[in-house]
Amino acid sequence: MAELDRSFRRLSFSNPVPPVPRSHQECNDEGVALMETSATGLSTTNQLNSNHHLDQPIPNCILPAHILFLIFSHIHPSSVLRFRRVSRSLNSLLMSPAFASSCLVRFVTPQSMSGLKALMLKQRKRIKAVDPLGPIPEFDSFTS
Amino acid sequence: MVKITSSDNQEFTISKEIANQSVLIKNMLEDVGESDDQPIPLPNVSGAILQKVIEYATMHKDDPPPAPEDETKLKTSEDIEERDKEFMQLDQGTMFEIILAANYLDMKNLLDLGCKTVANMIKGKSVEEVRKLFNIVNDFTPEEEEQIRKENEWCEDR
Repeated sequence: MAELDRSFRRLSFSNPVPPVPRSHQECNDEGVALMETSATGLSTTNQLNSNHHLDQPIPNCILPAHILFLIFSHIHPSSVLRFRRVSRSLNSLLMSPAFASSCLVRFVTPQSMSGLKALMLKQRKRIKAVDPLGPIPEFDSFTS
Repeated sequence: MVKITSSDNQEFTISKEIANQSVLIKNMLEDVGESDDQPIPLPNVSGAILQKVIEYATMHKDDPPPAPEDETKLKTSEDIEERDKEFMQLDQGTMFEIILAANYLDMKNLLDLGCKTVANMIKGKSVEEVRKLFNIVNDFTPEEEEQIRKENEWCEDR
């Protein structure tokens, strides 16, 4: 499940073709890239996607962050990500590993795993096409 | 019977089975013991909202205990009972107050219902509409917002 979680995050919550991290400083302890460079060359992930703590209030918001977490976790991951643009705090909340896990638990069943696996194989091919020599352990361990 | 008072000093007398749907009240009752007939103060909930919460708890007092989680079943926001949909036909302010009350009173089912209802409201809304709904200020620079829009191009039109 942890492997799937990591892979899912990489699939859904990052650029379609994530670059290979350049140094250990750009990886977290699970080896997941923290720095991502977009087509425009601006790096955003470190600046915008820091982990959100649920006791951290969202400025001016009517509801506390942990309730927003619950509300947004009822929206499918493929739709919820467009709300990253609402504000910095909500972006951090929606990009947090806890939120990704919450979505997985709600939307991924054993039956839907086969579909996810097919999607991951497709994504793996896209990454390999950009960087044929780069290893993708998360994908390889899950899809093998 | 259990007496509870709201933030605006309205007093309600409810049965114990209704009161026990709130984990907060249940724990308070266990702490103070059966003999104490002093009303339980609920300073974070107004009388009008407490009335709605009691209405919900009364509606669900005969519900069977929840079945064990079925892993094969998706827990989506669409699976809301018809009577609960009718109950949540409220103005936005009242709905948010009920969610906050459910959170304070520790009533998981009511909190879930509120969150699902708001999630269903959000699904068709634009980013700007969501900001307005929750009173969230856009603190991104235009460049940052554009950056995120580009990262999310694959899901923006869904």
